[in-house]
Amino acid sequence: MSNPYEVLGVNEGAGIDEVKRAYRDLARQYNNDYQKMDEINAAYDTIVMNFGNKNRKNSYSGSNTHYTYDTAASSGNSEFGDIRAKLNSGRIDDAEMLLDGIPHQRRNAEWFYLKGTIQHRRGWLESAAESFERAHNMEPQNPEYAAAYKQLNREKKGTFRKEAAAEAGETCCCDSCCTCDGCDICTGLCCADCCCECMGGDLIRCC
Amino acid sequence: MLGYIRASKPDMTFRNYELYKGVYCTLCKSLGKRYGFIPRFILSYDFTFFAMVRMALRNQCPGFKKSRCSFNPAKKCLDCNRDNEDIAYTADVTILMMYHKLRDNIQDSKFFKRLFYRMIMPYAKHLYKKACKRTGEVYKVLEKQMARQQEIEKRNGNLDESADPSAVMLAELLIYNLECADKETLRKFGYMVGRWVYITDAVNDCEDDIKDGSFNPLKSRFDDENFLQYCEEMMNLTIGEAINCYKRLKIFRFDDILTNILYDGVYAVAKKVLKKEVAENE
Repeated sequence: MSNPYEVLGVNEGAGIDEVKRAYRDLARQYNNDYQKMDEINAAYDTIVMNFGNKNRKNSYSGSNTHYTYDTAASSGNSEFGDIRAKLNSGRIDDAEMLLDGIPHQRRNAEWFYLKGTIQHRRGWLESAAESFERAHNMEPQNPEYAAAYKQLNREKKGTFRKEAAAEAGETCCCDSCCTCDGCDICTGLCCADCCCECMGGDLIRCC
Repeated sequence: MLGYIRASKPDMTFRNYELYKGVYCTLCKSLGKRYGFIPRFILSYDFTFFAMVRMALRNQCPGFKKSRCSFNPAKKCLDCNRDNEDIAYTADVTILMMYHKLRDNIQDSKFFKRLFYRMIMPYAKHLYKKACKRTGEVYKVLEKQMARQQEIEKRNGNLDESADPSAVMLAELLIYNLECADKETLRKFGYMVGRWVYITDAVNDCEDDIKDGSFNPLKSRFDDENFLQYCEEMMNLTIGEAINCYKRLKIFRFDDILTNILYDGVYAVAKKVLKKEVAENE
């Protein structure tokens, strides 16, 4: 694996705030590129983990922002890391049990994201969509939550149908006519068009 | 299952339509052969879809030939090998589902209708027992999920909860005795389709259920001004997930027909159901 600091484009001695900023900028830039996003995420995770191990004392005694960040990175992450591992190995019930055991005041954006993931796996889509939305609202910059939220939102709007039609190249002005019930005029016109085409003519250009 | 999952005829080729009808005809004949004349009337297109998904996942041809139909002897239709195990299994499943639907109806309906359902119950039970014997263990799953459904309805569960038993039911029926490389995806596919049917049925019946005072998971939202949009979103979301799973499955045949059903057929039905709601609201 390449040097995580190089991936994020920061100096090896950079502070956590700088790393965080670089990560956010990159995440915004490569929002749609999953491969690059994986690389960036991995690099970020490595650096943050190291921070947690090496500088724990430092950051705890440091400024207020360091303190809050480090709790999220070390203790928060390790607990959720356990849950993530369980989720990855398909032990959904165990993961949910651990997750539900976490007290309300510590339920952050990641908590809602993981809850949403579990609900999504179960097929409880309404709750999953709500959880993802909540995670996304709590931390709008996080690309992982944003991706999950957007994915379900796209499905809600039914975009998959338009995409499939576009792939097949079916974009005809009559499509909308054909789907409506009892639209006799349209049907009649379509029929007339077909007849004309059979005889070599054309009534409606686009069909 | 009540005929919500059907193909969109205008978007089909003639050839695919004939195949689709052929499976329907064969199912009907198989029902007649296995359970007698009357159950043939309860067959719906949902089960055609069910049988086709199962056949599509197998690497052996169902073997179609032309034959006559006893309802319309003048017309010949396609007929696949009647000993096809998926067709036979689907016929059994039709009976299983019908029985549970009937039991559900007895609980939900008013005096005269209930009396009618009660009267046909012994006959249904006789068929049900026959079907149970033929399908093995799977009826236990149905009974367990039906009990769960009642329990959830009693405590007024939310949409996700109340759709769960029906969805699990269809998922388990679909994967039963079927060899598939990716069983989990297939299970999830079945789950999503079952969930979609449940939600669509709930949207369809919402108004009536409110009048009758029966349970409906959408009741609390019915007066919202965004009610229809909410319903549409939930239906879209569910079928979208089903399509995601479908894309991951290895399909040997009927791909065009199944795609037609999942994209266009289901959409047309959803639109119709929502439109009906609009008409009633105005």
